[in-house]
Amino acid sequence: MSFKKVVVFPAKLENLAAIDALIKSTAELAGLDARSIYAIRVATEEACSNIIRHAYQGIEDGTIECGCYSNMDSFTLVFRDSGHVFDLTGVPSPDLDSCLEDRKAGGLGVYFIKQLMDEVSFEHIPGTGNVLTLVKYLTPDSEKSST
Amino acid sequence: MEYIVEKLKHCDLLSISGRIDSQSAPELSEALDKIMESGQHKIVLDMSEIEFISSAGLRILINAQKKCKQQLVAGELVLAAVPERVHEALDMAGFLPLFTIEDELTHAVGNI
Repeated sequence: MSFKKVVVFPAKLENLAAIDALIKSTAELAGLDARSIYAIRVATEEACSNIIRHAYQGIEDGTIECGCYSNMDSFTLVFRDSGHVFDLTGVPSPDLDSCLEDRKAGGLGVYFIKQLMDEVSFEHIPGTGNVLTLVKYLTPDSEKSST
Repeated sequence: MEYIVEKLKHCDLLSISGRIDSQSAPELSEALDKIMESGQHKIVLDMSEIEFISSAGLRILINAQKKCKQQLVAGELVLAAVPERVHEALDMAGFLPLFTIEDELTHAVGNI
């Protein structure tokens, strides 16, 4: 099903559940399977919490524009904010093989986004803000969708 | 997120329900800290009613496991009745080798 839905939320942690509800309902409407929907919800939480904590660090009245776009091939999420430049695509992956004592607790969120989504891209538009685009393919033979 | 703590003979049982995200993860941290501050470092976490967990929740688990294992009399945070999606998140984070994961809650409580 092709559709688009765009909602703007205040960039507050207490709105993560409302953003999740939007993403879950639109992903279901797009016809994604349960595993893909859960993956998109996790990626969304990680993306929005990063925007709130990093892009809007020191900024109280920011917003996150959540755009959900569906077509026959893919489900696309576009998150727009007007905070500081925070390109999560450049964050290095954590070491997942270290022992418990050496295991770092950070860096997992961005790693999750990259693992769970089929495409991740970031753009900073000077004077406007950040645009993070996450894509999940709908095709059943997509390698990531089937795992 | 809601939680209940039961003090059992050999461990504390922490049962969590709902959504663990960046907003609610501090509540999970607080619950685990209270148990450890009481002197108990053998903890079974009943995850059966967790609907959603993000990396913020997983960070709390790894930090709690470190604290439990660092005790002179080694403790442990055991994960029990882990839902499929949560298990997949643990796997993706590389956490499976770092935790004992029990399918049955009674087995987890009886063997810690």
